[in-house]
Amino acid sequence: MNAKKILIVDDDQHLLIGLTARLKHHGYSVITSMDAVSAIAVARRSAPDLIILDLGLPAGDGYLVLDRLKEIPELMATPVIVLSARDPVPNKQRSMEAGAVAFFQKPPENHAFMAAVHHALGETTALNHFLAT
Amino acid sequence: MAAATVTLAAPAAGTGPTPLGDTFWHLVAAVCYVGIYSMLVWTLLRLRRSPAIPQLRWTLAWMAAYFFADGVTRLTRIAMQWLPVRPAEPLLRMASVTIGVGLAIYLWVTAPGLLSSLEDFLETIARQLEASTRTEAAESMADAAHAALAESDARFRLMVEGIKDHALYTIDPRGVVTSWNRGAQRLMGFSEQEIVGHHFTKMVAPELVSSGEAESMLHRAIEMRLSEDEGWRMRANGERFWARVSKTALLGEDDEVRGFVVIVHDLTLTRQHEREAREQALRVQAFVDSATDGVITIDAAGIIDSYNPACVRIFGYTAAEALGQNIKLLMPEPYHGEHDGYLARYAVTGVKQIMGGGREVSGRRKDGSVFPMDLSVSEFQFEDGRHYSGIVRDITEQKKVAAALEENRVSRMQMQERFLSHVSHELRTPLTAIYFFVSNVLDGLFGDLTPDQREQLRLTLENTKQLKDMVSDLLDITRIDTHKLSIASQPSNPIRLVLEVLSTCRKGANEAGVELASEIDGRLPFVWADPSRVRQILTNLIENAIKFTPEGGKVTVSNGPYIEGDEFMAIRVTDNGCGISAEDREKIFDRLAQVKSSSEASRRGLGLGLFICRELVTRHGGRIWVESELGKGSTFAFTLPAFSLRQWCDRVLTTEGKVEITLLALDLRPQAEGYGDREAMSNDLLHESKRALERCIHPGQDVLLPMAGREHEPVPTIFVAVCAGAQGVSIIENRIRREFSNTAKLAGIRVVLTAIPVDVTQGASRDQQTAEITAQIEKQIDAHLVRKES
Repeated sequence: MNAKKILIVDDDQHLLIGLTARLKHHGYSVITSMDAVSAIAVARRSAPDLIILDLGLPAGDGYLVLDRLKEIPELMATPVIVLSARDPVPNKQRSMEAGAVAFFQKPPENHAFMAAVHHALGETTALNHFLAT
Repeated sequence: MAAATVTLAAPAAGTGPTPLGDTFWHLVAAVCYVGIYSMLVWTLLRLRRSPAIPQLRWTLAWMAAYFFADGVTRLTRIAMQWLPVRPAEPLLRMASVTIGVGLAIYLWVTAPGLLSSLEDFLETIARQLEASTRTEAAESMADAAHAALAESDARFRLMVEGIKDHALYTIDPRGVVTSWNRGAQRLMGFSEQEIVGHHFTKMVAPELVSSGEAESMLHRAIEMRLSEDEGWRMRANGERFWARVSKTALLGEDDEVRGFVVIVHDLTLTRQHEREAREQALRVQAFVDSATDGVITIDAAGIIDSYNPACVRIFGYTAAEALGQNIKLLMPEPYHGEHDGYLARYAVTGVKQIMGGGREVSGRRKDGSVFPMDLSVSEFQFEDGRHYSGIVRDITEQKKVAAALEENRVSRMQMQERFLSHVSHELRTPLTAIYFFVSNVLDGLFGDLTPDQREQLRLTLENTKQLKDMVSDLLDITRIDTHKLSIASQPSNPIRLVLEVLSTCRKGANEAGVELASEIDGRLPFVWADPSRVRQILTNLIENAIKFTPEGGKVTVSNGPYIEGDEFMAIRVTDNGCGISAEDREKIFDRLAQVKSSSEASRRGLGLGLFICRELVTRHGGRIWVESELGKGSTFAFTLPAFSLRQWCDRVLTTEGKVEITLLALDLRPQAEGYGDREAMSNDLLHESKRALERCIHPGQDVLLPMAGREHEPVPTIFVAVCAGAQGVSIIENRIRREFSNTAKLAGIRVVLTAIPVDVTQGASRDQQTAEITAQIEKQIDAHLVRKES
């Protein structure tokens, strides 16, 4: 299959179920991970096209994952969208500096979130998305 | 010879006596003779006694004798008629003739002398008469003078007597009291009789007399013609009192001292007052000296003229070091340099201005340390001009305590905030799950839904959205309370923000059947605001409007006219919904305000939305308000500050010292041609670059300038106005380079940085400097962009 692969890293089982359903509905294939360490391992193994990353993870946190990803050559260019319950005010900037392409606070507005997903995967070019700012 | 006797009908002797007729006439004659001659004799004898002319005595005696003899003779002659005195008659005649002859001879002898003495006598009498006349005249004049003198004397007396409070008396050059007045009697206790004629030392304290001091005082007075001294005097009852005595010499025609007028003041009362005043002064001094607060007074020129011990403790300078110095010694900059000006300005204008405005100022100690000080200033007038007094208190401790209390409060708030933050964080997890699940089913991921199913799920989703809003609001509220509500103002395009929010809200509006429209003037200026916060405000207002507007209604977003000059712009959200009653309008922006409404609109959130909006708008410096009419609709309006270089200048030019402004033009070029999608990258890059720049500059001091209308150019230029000189600029330059190379997204970007210094006239007025800076920056931006295009 030529479907893009998305890795969701979040320790909330329910979120994984809910989000996976939606992503699959849009035609993406989804793999999941529930902690920082296994996230890296899974990413290495599967080479996803996009990573959706929560910040609050066991065995480390999302930032750790972001930093690690930058060190791994094959994962360096993988776009990461951060989806976190944390307050955007410090975390958005920090995530962006750490290399994320977008930050969304839970619960994300579906339309915007999906647009960001599509964009990160290069599915659309000029798109009216609500990234950044 | 007075022989002229009237011999009336006296016939010659020898004729016979006539009868009764003759007797009658003879009796008459006799009586006459007796009368006349006795009169004569008596007169002469009387005259003899007068001491006027001694020589006449004998003459008069002779004359008296003659007249006596003659008288007797005649009487005898007459009596001869009846009495046998004939024989005596010739004897008597003989006697009188003898006396007469003797008298004649005597007279003849003494006549000249007599005459001359008579002349003398007459002369003397005349002279005496003259003299007495003169004396009489003089006497009458003297009388008049006396009367006048007496009158003035009386008046003087009255006056002197009238002076009851001072002793006023005179003494002669020896010191003996010659006059006394009632005042003297009152003061000294002596009555006039008791003291006049006595020496004045009777009234002087004995030790002064025995030491000779009293005498020397008198001698001094005689020499100097005037003396004034103070000393102990004694009253009649022995009581002594402190007196001031002045002696003024009375000079005669020959300039000799004839006496003295002495005035004595009882200084007891004066001394008492003086003593009381001194005591009072000492008491005040003691109070000032013992005060724990510093008390300083200065004159109109700012020179310290009093400095109490507490000041020594507070400032470190001793009184000797401080007195005579200018008060600005105790002030740190900038007050140090300004204080003289303040004093001068106050003296001229009377406009008070404690430097810094309030009571809290900074003081500088001797060791140079600066400390917070509570100062209260007042002024008072003395004969030598205006003085100011200041009461100072070192409030370092107080501030520490206040700071500690504040810290306490802040930490408590922070704990509360952390807790709420944690709570809201945790709440989001289940919220997210619910949201995903419901939206998945609602969006048909698991098959079609019946209309009822759809409706149920739709409402569920609405509620989760509500929950989400509440959680966000909760966090914002705590942030407001702990002042952690941050707004990051930057030049923002309000048009873009409005359009973005309208986009977001369109779906909800469509579902509610409400039309969403915008009437925005395309030429709005940039605003100085936090874009995400502005979006938050707009979203809140528009969503509210949609909620409170029934199906078929309309919500319009428009911009209002400029208000408050050009400094603010307004955005209005108007709906034609149910409107808000007057009483609700008052409370609507309050915390937890819920508008009671019959419709569904009543179930709305925590009621914090508008409160947070107001908070956000206020933090931006704007205002928010509502205009509404029940049943007709409402308009919520808020203002935001328009961005202007002027505002930035106002903020930046408040610091003292040299002002240095530099304009940085950052041209962003791709490292290599053909890097990614040009247009999209530009937008992205711009945002990213701006963010990177924000990390490099001082917020509040430097400012990213808005670039109206040039966002989609292939080589974007970002302008930054930096408040720094060449050195500061190079630091920022390095920071920018580092940041750009570190940020992943910008790794492929080359930054061409041009620093353009902006000329500022140092020392010119703020307005002038602002005008200069604004004009130059605008010119430079244009020039740079033109240069780039060519």
